[in-house]
Amino acid sequence: MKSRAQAAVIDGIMFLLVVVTSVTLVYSFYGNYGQAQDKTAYSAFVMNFMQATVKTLYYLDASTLSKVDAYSLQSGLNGPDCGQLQKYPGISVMELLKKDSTPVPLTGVNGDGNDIADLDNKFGKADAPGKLAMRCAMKELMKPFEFANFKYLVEIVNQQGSELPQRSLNDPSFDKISNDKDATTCEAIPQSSYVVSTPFLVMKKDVIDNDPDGNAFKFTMRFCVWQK
Amino acid sequence: LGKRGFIGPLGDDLPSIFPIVTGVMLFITTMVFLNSQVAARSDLGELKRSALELSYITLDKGFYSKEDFDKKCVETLKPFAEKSRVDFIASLQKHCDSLQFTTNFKELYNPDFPLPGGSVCSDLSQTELDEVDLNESLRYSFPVSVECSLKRKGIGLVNILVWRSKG
Repeated sequence: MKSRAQAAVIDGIMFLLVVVTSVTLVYSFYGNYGQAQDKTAYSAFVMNFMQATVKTLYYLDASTLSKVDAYSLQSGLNGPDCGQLQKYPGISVMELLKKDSTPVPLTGVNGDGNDIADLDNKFGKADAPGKLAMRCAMKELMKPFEFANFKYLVEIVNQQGSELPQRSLNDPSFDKISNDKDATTCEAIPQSSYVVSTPFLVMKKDVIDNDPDGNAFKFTMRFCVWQK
Repeated sequence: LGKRGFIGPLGDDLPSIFPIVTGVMLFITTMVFLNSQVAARSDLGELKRSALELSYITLDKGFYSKEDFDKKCVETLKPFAEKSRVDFIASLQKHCDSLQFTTNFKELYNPDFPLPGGSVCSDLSQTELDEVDLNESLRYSFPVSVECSLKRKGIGLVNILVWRSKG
């Protein structure tokens, strides 16, 4: 009889062990439950913000950015400040960037190797501070992400995805449209980054009237964001 | 003598009853607790999805005038919120020169608050909104461009607050 009672106790303890094990498993399932959904929702928010930012750039008047303090905060480099944009009312940031990106002289068509998106804040010999406007706009619009230690980079690439040669890279007074001094291209940043690409047609000023699609430089603007 | 220590068919199993009852109680308590937690997480996930969808349809344009925003509110946002069983406040703020984020969300639906030219949209009335605890809402802010002085388009902000509808 004594051994029967001991067997019953062992049965009870075994049952308790099984319950504890299953409860542990259920808790570990609960720990992971919803994480994938949270991650997806977070990505959707970031992408939504980035898309809203790019859409805004198509309308944003460059002159409204004249009070942004971009250069001192972004890179510590000396350069033209956003105050210069005061002289460009009625032109959007994207229009100014397209003017700045226009290859001059107008040689080469559609990524044949000769297209050069200057990004030197000039359109021919005239001033067209598109890159400056873009830097100032990104500095202001990406403020919440910058505070959260996010980095961003905007670049103009050809349709093959490779970065266009940019004259300004060799100019120490200019650097990338980015808040990360080490950033080179969107392809070189971590895989966990978010990227928004948009067609970036730059018209040839002398052939705008006829067949604009075929006579445009077909570039792509890439905007990437990542956490460092 | 042969039955020494025998306290009946149930009595012999008495010591095993304690771990069994403990196990059953532990299991039931865990399942009830986790069931409520999983339901809460699922509900939050659904709310996030609705909030993001609402944001997405609000931000289909990069530029908003007050009139466009009010039209969007009536034609799209309110029907969407009703279908998704959520309540919301969407506000269009004009900043023009720089982005300014607010932490006082009560201000967002105060009719006097939106900077001139801004707009507020909600599926609830002012009186109903006064009773809402906005700390339980999801909040998202996105940049847009808005009409500023001298017909220039400057920086604006769309704020979206979403919470589960009580009704």
